[in-house]
Amino acid sequence: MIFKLIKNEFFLERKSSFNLLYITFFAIACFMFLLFSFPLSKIFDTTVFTGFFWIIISLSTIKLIENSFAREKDYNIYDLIYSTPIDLTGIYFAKLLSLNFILVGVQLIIFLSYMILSDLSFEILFNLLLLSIVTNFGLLSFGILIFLITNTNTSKSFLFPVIFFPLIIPVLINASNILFGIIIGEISSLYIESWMILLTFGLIGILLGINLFGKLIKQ
Amino acid sequence: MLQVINLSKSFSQTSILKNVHFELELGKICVIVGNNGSGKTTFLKCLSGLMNYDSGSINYNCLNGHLFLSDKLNIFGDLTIEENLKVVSTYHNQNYDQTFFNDSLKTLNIEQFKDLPLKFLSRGNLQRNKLCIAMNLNWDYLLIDEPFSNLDREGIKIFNNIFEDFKSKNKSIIYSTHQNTEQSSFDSIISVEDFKEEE
Repeated sequence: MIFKLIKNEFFLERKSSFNLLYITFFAIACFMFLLFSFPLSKIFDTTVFTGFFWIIISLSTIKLIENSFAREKDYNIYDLIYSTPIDLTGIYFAKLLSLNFILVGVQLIIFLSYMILSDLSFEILFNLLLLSIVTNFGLLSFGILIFLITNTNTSKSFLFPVIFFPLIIPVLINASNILFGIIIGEISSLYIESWMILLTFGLIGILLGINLFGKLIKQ
Repeated sequence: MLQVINLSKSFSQTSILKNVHFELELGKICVIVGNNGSGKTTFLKCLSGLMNYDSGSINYNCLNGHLFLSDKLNIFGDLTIEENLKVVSTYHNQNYDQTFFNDSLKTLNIEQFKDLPLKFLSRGNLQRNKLCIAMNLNWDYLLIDEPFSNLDREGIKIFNNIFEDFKSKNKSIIYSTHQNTEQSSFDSIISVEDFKEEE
């Protein structure tokens, strides 16, 4: 059943007007912003890139979640989906996994461009993939919850990022730390601790999602 | 049989439903009437499980559950009628029959729009699309909010015929309306104002 739901989510993302193109373009635009906002000598500075990379991803996460729920709200399919007898946890997981997959795609596009520009070895891609998946679970699970909490408020588009950003700062710092280690090819300080923090965020986010998604949808 | 026992729902200090008792057997059509904002949609949303209620219980006691069609468009705008049905049927963990789907398009007179994304259809045709979903899914109770809004005279006639067809298949329909019920067919009629009086 969960595979059918995931397939559904991908089908909808594919069919939604320009959603995938929009998110990719948005991420590339942010990347271009990075290129133009630093002196040439600093652009390929690993510390600058790793920090900026995760800021781009967190901004893309916000747009991705907003678009995914907007698609359901714009034409009010909301009532029809969430009144079905199907377990809402299944829908939550389908959303989480499909959005994670899309975000990994965006991450790969940005990272591959950076790798080509800075002559990095393609062997680090596997580590990046693992880091992206774990971090995305934390970002997306908390993002979905905060979006649903702020959804009923009239200033939701302002409230969502305002609450979301402070909460994910530990995720961004630790993901940057691990990415820095992956790029330079050495284990950075607090490497294991950073992984533990990312895993904890992901796990707590998913557990909260399982318990609260249904309640927040029905509020 | 659908049994609603002591259902209460309020928003802040305003009580919308108060100790509602309601029963409906299979194969019956029930109309809920009331003015705008009187609580018809709230009652249907509580029955559908979409809205949490303060107290009471709702038991369907049937095999195929319920389908809720709200007064909103209920579509993914970028999909065609069939793609929309395909997605919705996944959420209901059901499959639909292709031949029956084509027949239902003919019955609802929307066959010519089958390749168009739903966002280009008129409100009346989107209303027909909602009933197309109901015709192609398996359920015992259909909860439908304002089914006749945006429909022309021919559309109302088609809807009434389909409702009668559902009834003959031992399926029940609960629908709400704020319009007069002269053109509608039903077995029982309830005013939502009755739900506000404590029993």
